[in-house]
Order: sequence, then C-alpha cells, then structure tokens
Amino acid sequence: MAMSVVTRREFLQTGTGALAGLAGLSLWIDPRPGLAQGPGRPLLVVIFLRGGADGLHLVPAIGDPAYRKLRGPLALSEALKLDARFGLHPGLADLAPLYERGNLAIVHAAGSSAGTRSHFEAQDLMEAGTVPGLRVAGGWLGRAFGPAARIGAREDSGRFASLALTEQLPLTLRGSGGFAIDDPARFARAAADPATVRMLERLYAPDADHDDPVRAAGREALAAVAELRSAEARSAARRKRGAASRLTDRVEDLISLEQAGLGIRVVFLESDGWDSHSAQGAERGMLGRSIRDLGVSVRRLVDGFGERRDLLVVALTEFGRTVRPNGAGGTDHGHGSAILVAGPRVRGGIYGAWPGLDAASLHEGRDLPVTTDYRSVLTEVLASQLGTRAASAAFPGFEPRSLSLLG
Amino acid sequence: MMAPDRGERLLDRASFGPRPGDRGAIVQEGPEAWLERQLQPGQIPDPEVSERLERFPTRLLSPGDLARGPEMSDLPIARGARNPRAAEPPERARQRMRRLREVGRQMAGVRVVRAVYGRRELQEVMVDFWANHFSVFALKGPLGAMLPHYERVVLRPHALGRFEDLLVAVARSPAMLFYLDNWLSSAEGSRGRGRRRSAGINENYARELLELHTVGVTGGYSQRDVVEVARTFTGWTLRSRRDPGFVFRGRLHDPGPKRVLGEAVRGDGIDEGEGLLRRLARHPATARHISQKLARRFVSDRPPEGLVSRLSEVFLEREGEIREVLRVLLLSPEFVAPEHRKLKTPLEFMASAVRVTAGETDGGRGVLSALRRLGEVPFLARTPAGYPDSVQHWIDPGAMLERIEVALALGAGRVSGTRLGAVYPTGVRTVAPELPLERRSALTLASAEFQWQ
Repeated sequence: MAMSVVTRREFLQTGTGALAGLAGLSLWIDPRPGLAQGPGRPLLVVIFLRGGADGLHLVPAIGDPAYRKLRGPLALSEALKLDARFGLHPGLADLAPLYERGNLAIVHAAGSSAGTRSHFEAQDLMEAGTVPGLRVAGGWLGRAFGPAARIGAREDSGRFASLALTEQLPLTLRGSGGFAIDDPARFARAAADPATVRMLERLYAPDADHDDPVRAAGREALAAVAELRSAEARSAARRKRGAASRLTDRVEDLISLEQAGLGIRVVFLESDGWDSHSAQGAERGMLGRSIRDLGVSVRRLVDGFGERRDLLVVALTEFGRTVRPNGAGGTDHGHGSAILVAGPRVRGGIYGAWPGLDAASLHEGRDLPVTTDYRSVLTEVLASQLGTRAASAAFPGFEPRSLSLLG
Repeated sequence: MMAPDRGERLLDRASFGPRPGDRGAIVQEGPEAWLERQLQPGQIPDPEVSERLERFPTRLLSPGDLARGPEMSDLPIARGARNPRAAEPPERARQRMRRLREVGRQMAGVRVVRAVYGRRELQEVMVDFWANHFSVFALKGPLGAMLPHYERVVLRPHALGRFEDLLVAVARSPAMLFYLDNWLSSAEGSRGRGRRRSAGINENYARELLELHTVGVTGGYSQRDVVEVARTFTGWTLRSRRDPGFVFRGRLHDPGPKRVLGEAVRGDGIDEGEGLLRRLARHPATARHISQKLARRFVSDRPPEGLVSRLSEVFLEREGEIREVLRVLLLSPEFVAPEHRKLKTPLEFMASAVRVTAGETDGGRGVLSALRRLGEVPFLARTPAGYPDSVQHWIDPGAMLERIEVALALGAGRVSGTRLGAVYPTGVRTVAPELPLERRSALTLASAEFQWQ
C-alpha cells in the first residue's frame, strides 16, 4: 500500500484568500493554451427532449384535412400559423420571431427508423447514433468531437470543450472526453474550504503510480473546480436561478459559462416531461409547460450567442407519439416527431416530406411516420459546426439525404 | 507493490470491504476456511441484518400482495379493463406512483443495509452481480411491485447455486416478464388478451436472453434466432392484474417448429421454453460469457484469458454450479496478483466507507440520494445491461468530484441516516494525523487509493 503522510504543518500552510488553496494546482496541472473560443468559433447546442415529444403538438399540421378529426381534444385552435400547412404551439411563441427572421428550421416527420417504442432503447439508439444491429462505440457527438475527428484542431482540447449540463455524461457525448456538470454553481463551490482543497491536492498529486486513472480524474476535477471558480469570478453574467425548469436554468448556466471563456464547443442539454400519456392538454395542460420552456430556451440561446458564436441549436426526441389521443387525454409512444434547428445561419422553413395524416399514411395505422432520418439532419448540423470529417465520424456507413438546412 | 494477501483480497472483493476486526479474523480462520464458509451462506447466521431490515416491510410482499394496493392499475391485463389508466382519477395515480417509489426505495435500502451489515458477504456481492446481469428497472410502470419478489425469491436464493436454475427463475419472474415485455408477446394470429392488444411476438426478452443473459453478443446468434426464441416464449405471461404471477397460456403460444442456434427446440408448450433455457445455460458460449463477467468483476476490467478459459471449463464440467466457479476464481493466483486492480463501484465505495469506519446506515433516503449522485442506486440501472463495473464507465472528473464530495459529506455528518464511525480507515493512506478524526477519515475515503478494491 502506498503510504504518504500529509502533516499538520503542511495542512496549516494554506493561504488565507478564497482561492489561495487552489494556487498550488498549477504545479501539476498542464497550463492550457489560450481558451479563446474567439468570436465566430462555431458552437453547437443539442437539446434532448426525453420521454418522446409530440411533434404534432409542437408543430401542428393545422392545414392537414385530417388534423382536427384525428387529434380531437388535442387539436390546437390557437396555433401560431407558419404557413398554409403548419403552425407552432402557442407555447412556442418565443420561436415565432425566429421563424419569421428565417432562423428556425423545422424538420417534420423526422426521427429514427428503429421501430422501438421503449424510451430507453430508443434514447440509447438515438444517442449512440445508430440503428438496431449496428454496434458503435460511444455517442454520435462524442465520435464527431472525439480525437479521431479533430486532428489538427488542438484548440478544441479545453477541459470544457465538450460539455454536458447533466448529472452524468450522456451517451451522446461519450467518446469525446466530455465533461458533465449538473450544476456549475455547486461544482464551483465544491470542496470550497481552501484547507480541504490543499489536502485534496496532496492526495491527488501524481506519485510513482503514473497511470492511475482515478488520480488523474481527481486532479482534473480539482482543476475544473478552480477553473470554474475563477470563471465565475470573471463572468459578466451572474447566473440567476429562478423557479424555472431545469432546461431554462441550464441555459442560463451555459450563457454565463460561455461568457467566462471556457472554450466551449459542443453542449448537451436535456429536458424531461415529454411523456404525455395523460392530460396532455391542447393550448394548456401538462405538456404546455415543457413546450414553453423549450421555446424560451431556444430563443434565449439564439439571442444570447447568436452570430457572435455562430450558434446552432438542435432539439430532438427519441420518438413521437400517437396521432390520436388515448383514453386518458394523452398520447402513447409513437414514431416520427419534429426536429428543430435554430441559429443565425439556418435557412428557415419547414423541411421533410410530409406524409399526410390520412389513415393509409400513418405508421402502423397510428403514428406519424419517419420520412427523414434524424441522422440526415445531424449530419448537416455537424458538417456546419465541426466539419465534414466530424459528420462522417458520427454516423459511419450512413448515407445522409441532403436537406440543405444551412446557408 | 507488495502482493496483497488472499485474506485481504477476499475482504476487499468477495465482501463489501473489511470491517474493523475482519482482517485479524480472516488471518485466524484462514482465507480458505473463510471462503468455504461464505460459499454456504445458509449456514451463516445474520441476526443484525434481520433486525435492521425490519424497517423495510415491503421486502416481504408478493406482487399479488402489492397488487391488492393501487400499484398495478396500469397493467392492462384485467378482464374488461380496456385502459385502466383512462378511468384512474389523478389522485389515485399519484398515490400509485408514491407507493411504487416507496417500494423501490425500500428495496434499494435493503440492498444497502445487507451490503453494509450482512455476514453472508459473498452471497451479497453475488446478489449485486446478478442484479446487474439480470437487471430490471424499478421505475418501469408497476415493476416496483414485483421487485421484492425478484430480490428475495429469484436472485438471492440462487446467487451461488446453479446458473440454469437462476436463469429459469428469472425467466418466470414477474419482474423480468414485465421489464422485457415478454408478457405481451404472443403468437402471430393468436387471440391477444382484450381487443386493444395486438397479437404478435415481442423480441425484447428474446434478444436480451441471448445477448445479455446467456451466450453473449459474440455468441453466434442471428436475428432469425432472436425471432425463434421469441416464438418459443410466446404465452409466458402474467396471470392478472390482481395476481400478476407467472402463467403459461397455451392459446397465446406459437406451437410451430422452431430452431435456435442450429438445433430444434424440443418439447411442446411451456417445456419448449424451459428446455431452451437449460440448453442455453449449458452452452459453451454462455459458460464463457458468465466466466468472463465473473473474472471481470473479481479480478480486472481486462481479465487474463487463461483464467477465463479455466473458469469456463469449470462452469461446463460442474454444470453451471456458480459456487464451484467462484471457488476456483477466488483461489486462483490471478485473484491475488497485484497488477490486477479493480475499481469500487459507487455502491461498493459507499458500503466499504461505512464498513471500514464501523459507521452506521439506515438505508434510507439520505444514503440513496448520495448513491444517486454517485450514479448507482440499486435497481435503477437504465438499461437491461445493468450497471457496469469498469473504470472507464465510473471514472471521469465529474464523477470523481462527486466521490470526493460524498466522502466529505459523510465526514461532516451531512448524509442523513448514514455516518462514519469512530474507527480510522487503516490500510489506505494516513492523512494529517493531528486533524479531527472525522476530517481525516473523510479525506482518506476521498483519496484515489480508497476508490480501488
């Protein structure tokens, strides 16, 4: 057993300032080159809507002759009209101006061709970026942003370049060396007592056992704490935490982290509450709130970063829901849904082949079909933000169909 | 690095970590005698656990007991219940969810209490192993109500027994039938139950049976085999909403001929499935798959090939007697080789921290929420593959910071219902001897060394 003694004398040799205890970190953590994400460095934000979001509720097919009849009590009568065929749920009012400016693309009847209606299976497949039977390592964004895909792009190697504001690193980001922080403020406060930090530094200092991954990860964690803490100190935007949902909260976190210059390139956010088996409601109801938060969040991201960071936001879900309401005023697990892509370089509009809602067109007689594979959407998004090499690393062997979502 | 002694390794890996006094005791008893005793858990008295488990009354309830409460109301199998949820008032739905979550919490608490206080050390480690090998997710629909039965009747009694008995028990368990949807699987063209049920096979269980439970992903099966397995298990379903026990319904079963892995499925009716399970349990690819996983659990994320081969041979020769495989594994030279390191999973980290300091836990909300932060609450693995046990999965900077934070919180008494005891965790690393004991203990538990078994 390795024995080492940290003495009381060493323990007492800690500074008095709040950050003094962290000063020693620089001794054994590689100083990193400038974190400048620079104006114009593309930023990609992925929002995963967990639970199966009802695409027909987000973007109702108000012009489809079967819409009202099939949707019954779920049919929206106050939808915000986008064109003759489609509208936006009124909860997405924040997105209407984006659509008008041509900064919002909607790919309708999009999703995964995997027929599973299991949340976990469908989420795993979509996050892995694969279909049943095709085994891949890590997640699609992890592969896209992983070492293989970014040879020569050293500036992307910052600690927070690939960031998830979630409890655990999501499958989507695995393979990129991504960093998951559920709550940056709490993370920055972790081990806040300088004396404790100094002791931890000693515990995690490199020793003869150079390849101990635990030791390396512990060091990295302490360094991240230090970096976040100083980022907090220099961040112009003090994070405000309201009573809002997790998603809007995380968006505020992200904006303040980005302003602190942490070199963020790809971000994963998630939102819960989409599994609307009952009391889904039309304009109001259980789903109304999730929808509103989504609209507010996407809008805030586009306004907050916009052209300064060449931002793209993608919101997608593991599957859509049944077209008809179930007996509980909700919808059950379905197939196709809608994917939203927003950002200054987006060519606004509604994309994807609309299958129509007549009985013969529905998937298994009940669901919106998938006419656009989500990977075609993500391929264009990745090619734009991370380059074509990243896009092909994400979905090996997949032949995307061109949508020309981006100008 | 000094080669660890076998007794110490057994305490580190064949139990949830040494308690004060355990090291001396295993030296006195001898590691081999200790192991023999642990291989016969029924003969080890466990009074402290029995007493502490009294605060988890739902652990003794059957799915039927729990079904007489509101838990099962979203299991749409009652006669005439077209969509029970439709008629369920919201207050009742909330009550159902509360009760189900409570059952799930209690069962996770049972696992924590047994890990910390149990004297049937190896059995508990193997319950953890099988709970992940045959993973179910406590929050899928009413599955929580089937969990006490699954833990108490299926996993624990078979943890050291014959693999095929365990495999059959799992296949017939309400928890697995529900979790992997086999209860909904019926022959194409058969009359499903109720008008809204569309008849047809569901491949979910069949696929995981091959991929995860038996021959493994490299076991040489095809999509065609998956379908044939699914057909074999049509009719293996749940009796009713008020009594969701296992039942075989011949009218839902596909009686046609089937071939799996190049051999005809023999027998008819329920015997087809039972026979197939026993055949799969004895398949060399299964022997290898289970041996590989055991070696990974007890030795290293990348276990030596020679060890895996030897274990596979024992598995086949001794007809899947887990006890025999474990004996060879835990007495092997590889088990004590210093170069084979094994990380503690969050549950192992938590249990060993409480054990090494002679601390206390009530298995309640405090410790479960700490485990949640660390990423491993028993029965809440999100995929049928269960929680992994590799360094790669559990160690990243965010996860390390959580371990550090939880260790510090334990030391500061900030985990309600769970606290460290007054014994300094020796054998790890000595930190600032002059600090107050709780701070020193917490820092030691936060160290890199303590994360290794």
